[in-house]
Amino acid sequence: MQSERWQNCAEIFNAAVERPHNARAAWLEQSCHGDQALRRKVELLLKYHDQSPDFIDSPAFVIAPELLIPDPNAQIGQHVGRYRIDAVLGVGGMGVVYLACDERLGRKIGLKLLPESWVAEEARWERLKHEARTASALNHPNIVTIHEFGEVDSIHYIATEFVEGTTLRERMTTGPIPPDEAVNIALQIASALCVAHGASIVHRDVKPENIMLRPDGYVKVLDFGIAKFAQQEMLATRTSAGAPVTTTQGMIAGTTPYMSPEQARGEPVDARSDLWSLGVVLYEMLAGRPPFEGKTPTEVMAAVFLKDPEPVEQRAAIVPPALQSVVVKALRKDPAERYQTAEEMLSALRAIEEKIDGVAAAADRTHKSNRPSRTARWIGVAAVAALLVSLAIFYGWRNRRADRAAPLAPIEKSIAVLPFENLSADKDDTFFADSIQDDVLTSIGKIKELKVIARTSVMDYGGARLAGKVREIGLTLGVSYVLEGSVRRVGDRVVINVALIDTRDERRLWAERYERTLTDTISLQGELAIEIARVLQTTLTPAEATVAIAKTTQNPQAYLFYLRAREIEIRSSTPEKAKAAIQLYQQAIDLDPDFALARARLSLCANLVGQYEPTAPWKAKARAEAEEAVRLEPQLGEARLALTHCYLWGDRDYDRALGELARTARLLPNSAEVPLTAAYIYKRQNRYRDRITALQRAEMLDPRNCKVLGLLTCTHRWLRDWPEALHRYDRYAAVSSSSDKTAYHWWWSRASDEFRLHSDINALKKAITMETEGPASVSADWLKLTRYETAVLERDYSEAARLLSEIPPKTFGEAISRGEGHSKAFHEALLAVVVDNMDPAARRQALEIARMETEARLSSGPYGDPDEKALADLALLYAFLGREKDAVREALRAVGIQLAGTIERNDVSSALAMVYAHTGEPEKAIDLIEHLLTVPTEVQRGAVYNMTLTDLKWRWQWDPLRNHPRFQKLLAGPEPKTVY
Amino acid sequence: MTTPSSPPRQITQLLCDWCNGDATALEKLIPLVQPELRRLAHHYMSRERPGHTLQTTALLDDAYLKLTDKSAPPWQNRAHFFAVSAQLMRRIMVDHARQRQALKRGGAAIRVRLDEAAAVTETRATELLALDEALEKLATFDHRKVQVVEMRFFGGLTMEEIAEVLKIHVNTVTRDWTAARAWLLATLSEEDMDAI
Repeated sequence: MQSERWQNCAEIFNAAVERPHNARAAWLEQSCHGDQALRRKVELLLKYHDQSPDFIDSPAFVIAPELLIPDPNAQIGQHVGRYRIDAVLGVGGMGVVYLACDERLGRKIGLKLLPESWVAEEARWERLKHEARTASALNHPNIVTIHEFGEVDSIHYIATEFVEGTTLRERMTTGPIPPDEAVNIALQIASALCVAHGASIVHRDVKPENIMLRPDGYVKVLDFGIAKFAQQEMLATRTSAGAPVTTTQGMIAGTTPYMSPEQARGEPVDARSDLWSLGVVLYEMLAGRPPFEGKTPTEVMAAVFLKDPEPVEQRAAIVPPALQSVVVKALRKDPAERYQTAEEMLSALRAIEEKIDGVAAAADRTHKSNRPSRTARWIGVAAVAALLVSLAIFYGWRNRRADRAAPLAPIEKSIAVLPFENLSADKDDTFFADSIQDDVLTSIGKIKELKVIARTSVMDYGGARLAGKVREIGLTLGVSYVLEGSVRRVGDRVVINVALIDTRDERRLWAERYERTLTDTISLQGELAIEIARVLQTTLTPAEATVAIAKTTQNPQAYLFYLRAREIEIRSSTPEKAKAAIQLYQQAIDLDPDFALARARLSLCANLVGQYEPTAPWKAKARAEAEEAVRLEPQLGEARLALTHCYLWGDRDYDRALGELARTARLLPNSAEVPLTAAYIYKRQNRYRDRITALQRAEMLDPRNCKVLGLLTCTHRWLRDWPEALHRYDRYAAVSSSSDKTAYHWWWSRASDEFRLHSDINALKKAITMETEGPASVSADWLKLTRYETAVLERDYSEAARLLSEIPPKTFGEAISRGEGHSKAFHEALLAVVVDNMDPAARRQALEIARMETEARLSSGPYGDPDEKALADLALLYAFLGREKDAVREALRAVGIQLAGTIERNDVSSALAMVYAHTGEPEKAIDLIEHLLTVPTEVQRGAVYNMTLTDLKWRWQWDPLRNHPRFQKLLAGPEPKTVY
Repeated sequence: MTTPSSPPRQITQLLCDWCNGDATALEKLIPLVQPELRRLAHHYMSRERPGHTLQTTALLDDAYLKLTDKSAPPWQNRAHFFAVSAQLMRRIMVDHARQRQALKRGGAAIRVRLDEAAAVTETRATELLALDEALEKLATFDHRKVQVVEMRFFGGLTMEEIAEVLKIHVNTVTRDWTAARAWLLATLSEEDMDAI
């Protein structure tokens, strides 16, 4: 009954809808026959019909596809393996991407949980893993790094670097992007593509959703290798359903306005397809909308196949003609007419960027004619600062742009302060000239907007202008300006000449002569800093200005002591030199107890000494001076840095140290010491990627600092990135002087890494030849040591024994004191084990001697801990002595000394694996090896535990595992990628 | 087919059973179809951009091609599959909407912040549940109009396709749709539409 009534109601309603509005009332009157209730219902239906004609008009899965999948937020707080899910970053064709925390390493990562259907088949998962593994080998600042693939409780995931920022898609929602910024973004994408294409990886899905913009200007391309798989997977789905990939279906399979014509047709694609996609992205950035549009996917595809896009300059405000040409060329239908390589497109974009720079530079020069008059300059720092702030409005956009271009091009406002020439009669005053340079450098280094090269990188460039090397220096150090000067001191009078030169055209922008008494010289650096900032049109915040002109001390004598100490400190960082510097700083402080800078530097030196010597008094001294310096001058960057070092070396409170360092970084924006300190901290937090980034920043600020290069090499070696380590060695070789005492050690280390890269012992033999015949003189002991190590690897034991007998124990002892290698007795014992014809009693004796020697060393570790390396050696000796239980116990104890995840622990774990190998536990040994090959490792000269595939191949100590199929499989493959 | 254990055959059979009145078939179908729908939803969402959407049936079309066994097709045509899938889709979406509501009430503590997109989803979930409830009500006195809404809104079928499945004239489908929509909207706007 009710149903019939409703049917009637619906019929009247439908008939009313089909009538014109003005005829409806009559129709209702006629059809409802006075049934007011019925009529009211029909009228309501009509009201709602007219009100919202599009209600539920689009299918539910178009309006709310997210309701087809479980709420991604439900995963928040859950764990996947060692990752804790913290937030949802995005949902897409490749599943949900979360922000997660790697609880083992304490770092943020991006965690992709892959859709079940992707991994339903083992073969498909394997293919994906293979693809992504290839891509994960890509190492480039513009490519998002893949940390790990894995499976936990049948959840398949990919852990990647976490990129803070927005997608290019989000950035474009606010409209077109200015050409200079668009070019910079495209340039960085092209740079990523260069590297990927070089490794034969085509992205296949370059689109704004896959491009992240970091707040610091870096552009990161996501999903290399995986995006490709996603599309293949879609196609596979269709073909597996039995249908051929026709145009229509191909369109559905990968509908995207970023696909090249050949890709949309389902044809094989190459690098040029990615360049098309980049062209589309570039067009859309400039025009604010994509080049190919349509109401339906079919229309979009038709446009891609057939239509030439509307010229971008007709859609965008200002697009340089050269840029328009780049877009046109990238969007040629025929791949043969496009850019053939990413490099080509990259250089075209670079040329445009330079042109944009040129225009801006011209604007600069025009502006300079309006700069304040000479008298106005001296009205006061505040006035200058205020004026510069107003100029910043004009320069602001350029400087932001320059920051973004940092990894690619020299920065506009960058400066190197060259050594000042000493023109005094007294040649001892060279230190004085150098110190003034250092002082000026310290002051201008506090100006955030300038990039200032550190002193260690400019030490060799005295008298550059005379030698006509200014342009070359600009290129080598990546700076646009140099400041050079001379100092003449006669008694208490000082004459200083300075000149600021543009490295690009060697033009002198500004020069000045100052005549001062020694007392007045103290404030000179501040004046110079302000003046340089002015000439370079740099924004100086009032705070920076205050810091820059602040006098470090009023006492000229104290200032001289400070300068002397600083000079020593900068030339060498050995504990002996640091102690000498401490004495001089102390004398400065004795004369002026309020000399905060001297106290801060003293504290830093004390911490350095404390790393080598029994620490308590040094720690206390460092802490007291740092705290006093901060009390005297809370805004002094060096004081904050000193405090950071106290937290780091004294308290080992790394989080607190990082917090303090962040404060320091704001006060010392150009100090290479800041990122270097960060690198030390990151090492202790096992944050290797952050460490590399920090060291690269240090390298940028101090490109010729051997210490920085050394640490970079070392870090890459820990990560088994042999090519990168070798690259750094070569940088080191180029920078360090040949007389450098450590140079030949480096030579051998380089050969060792080459050996590990290719597993080719000839690399070592070649190094020995170079040592014998090369220019660097090598000590006889050292040469024997390298020969001995090579002979052991080659299994020429009689030669090894002969050489070993000739090497004094102290040669090994020095290495041990640096925490490297083994004792001579240990080497002798191992040789006794491996030599065939050894008398059992003699073998036992050699082992026992080594055992006693090693036991005696146990308690000599730094910081009073038992020395885990000695313990590991002892464990191995026990294993060879047949004391299997003792061996495993001591090895486990050694492992337990260091914190989980540290390379020190990984290193000792390798010893445990070796102990297992020699105590009849091959499975345990191999389990451990498989793990250890994927974690950072300490590769030390002469250490038998080095955990690299090459070491596993060559060292006799692994022979017990050699016939094991798992071990053989391990050796047959490529070296696993180190996960960090 | 690449999948080893041939779920398509199983799915096809279950769809048949369900059409023949076996209500338990639906419970068995959902877990089989759900992953595929999810995958397609992910895919759909990744491509969703203003002014650039897939054809409405593409999603189900994909599912149809993938899930049904073409070696022995018991289905007269795609439309039938869609009709059944539309009910499945409704069921799955409503279930998810319900889970979300539960999460919102019970699990709010773990969510730090509801971003804009999540807020939109919450609203949609609420709306969808209300719509589902209204459809239940409508089904008590007009089953066919509910079918039309299901096929059109949840299945994304065209009027012609619905006409083909229901074996009625396309104009009838249009009228059913118009009336059902007006009734649903009125009901959702809390007008009293029951006492007819």
